[in-house]
Formats: sequence, C-alpha cells, structure tokens
Amino acid sequence: MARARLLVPVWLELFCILLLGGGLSVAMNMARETPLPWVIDFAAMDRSDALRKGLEAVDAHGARIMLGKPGVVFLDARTPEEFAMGHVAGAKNLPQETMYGDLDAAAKVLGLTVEDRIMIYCGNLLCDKSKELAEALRTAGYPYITVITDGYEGWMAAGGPTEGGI
Amino acid sequence: MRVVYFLLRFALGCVFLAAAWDKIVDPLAFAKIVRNYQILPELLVGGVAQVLPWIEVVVGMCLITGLFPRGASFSATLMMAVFLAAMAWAKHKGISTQCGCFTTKADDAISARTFIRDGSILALALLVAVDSFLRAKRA
Repeated sequence: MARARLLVPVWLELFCILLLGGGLSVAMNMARETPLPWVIDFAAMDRSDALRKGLEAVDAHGARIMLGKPGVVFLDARTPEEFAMGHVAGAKNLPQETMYGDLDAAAKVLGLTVEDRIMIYCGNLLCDKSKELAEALRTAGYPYITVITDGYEGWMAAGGPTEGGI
Repeated sequence: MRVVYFLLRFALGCVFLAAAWDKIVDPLAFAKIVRNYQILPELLVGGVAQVLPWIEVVVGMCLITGLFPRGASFSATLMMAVFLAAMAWAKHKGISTQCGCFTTKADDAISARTFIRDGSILALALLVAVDSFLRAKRA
C-alpha cells in the first residue's frame, strides 16, 4: 500500500523557519534582563563608552578636520608593525604596550607636550587600545585627549590621508 | 545511504546549534562584529544580530529532528554562502575583523582557517540540501 505523505512546499518550510526564528528572538530578547534595542545607536555607544572613561570621542570624519592644525598630534596606539603597514599622515606611533612601562618618557621622546591636543586611534571599532592608552596618558598628565572611535579603518573609509604601507 | 544522510544532517544541525550559542549569550558583542563587517546599514545591525542566531537554532533543530528538511538544508546552504561572501568582502576591503562564526570572543579573526572551515560546512550543507530535495522528489 502506498504511503500517503504530506509534502509541505519549500517556501512554506522556509517561511515557518523564519517565523520561528524571528518569534524566538523577539521572545527571548523580551525575557532578557536588559533587552537589546532592535536599532542600536552605535555612535552614541562609542561616545558614552569614551565619556564614561572621561575621554572625548569623535569618529574619523570628525577627526579629519583636526589634521594639520597647530598643536594637534595624531597618535597611533597600534604595534610598530601595524603602524609600518600604513597610518594617518603625520601620525606618531606610541604602541599601547608602552603604558606598562615609562609612558611619560616615551611620550616625551615623541615630542608630546601637555598642551597638545592628542588624537588617539587604533585599528577599528572593536579595538580598545586607543581608549586604554588615552586613559593612561590622561593619568600621566596629558589633559587634552580625543579618541577616534572607528580607528584607522574608519579613517581610510572617510578618505583621510595616509602614509606608509603599500 | 539512509544512515549516512541522517548522520550528515545531524552533524550539520549540531554545527548550527554550536555556532548560535555564543551569539545568543552576548548579542551586543555579535552586533559589534556584524557592524564591523561594514556591509549592513547600522539600522539593521541590531535586528540581524538578534534574529540570525535564533534562525541558526531553528535550522539546527530542524536538521537534527528531520522537520522541514528541504527548508532547513536550503537555509543552511544559503547562510553559509552569505557568511563566506561576507568574509571574502571583508578580506577584499582589508577589514581585519572577527569572523563571528562560532564565538564572539576576540580569538577568531578572519583567516585561511575560517575560510576552509566555513567552506567545508558549505559543502556539507550543499550535500544535505541536494539529498533532501532528491528524497522529496522520490517520495
């Protein structure tokens, strides 16, 4: 005897999967102690992250207008190898690891003064080196510090001038 | 052949469940990784980062239980193709980001290893999908 078999159309299978996944995500997000917003304001998150640490923050677009202004120094918190692969035009390299040694001496070698407006960046949105180094520098007595939240990748995406690298 | 098909489908389902876990535990970290790919508009990042892991869970469960076999295997194949394309895009653009494939922690950067791993999963998904469709046709 032939077995009767109900074959659900593929589109209906896909629809059910999407509906189940969507429904579960909504339900589970509501069940979270602090539900994650469905539209995340990343710019505000970057700013609040830096502000919580008492630092000023801008994105690469905002930082571009500071390039070349007197008293403004761009500081690259990445490793010398990464720095050599390409960096913001005119930037100086102060690897974040320096903060575990004599940071003040290292900063003086680079010619930084406490009057300088220091713009610090690292690789991208996810890196923390810029924020960590910024905190350390502020503790070391450099008050005018700004973190470029989206880092070197943001800088390149914003069409900022670079040097070094290929 | 039936047993081989079941084992392959089961394995693929487990892969999808394992991949979803970290993203569900820390959706914000996953959202940051999604954002860092610079493919989606920022408005969509939060929603995608929350829904995608649960779709992976549903697909994983369907593959394990055999419910909606064609829809699940087709979705699995499609997702793997999209993930691979996104990684290739990031590599092409020189964006050094986390893969965001199996973990949201900072130890899974895009590399040849992630391409080979995801490529193998895509091949597995494709195999299961072809088999599911052929089986449905025969039934």
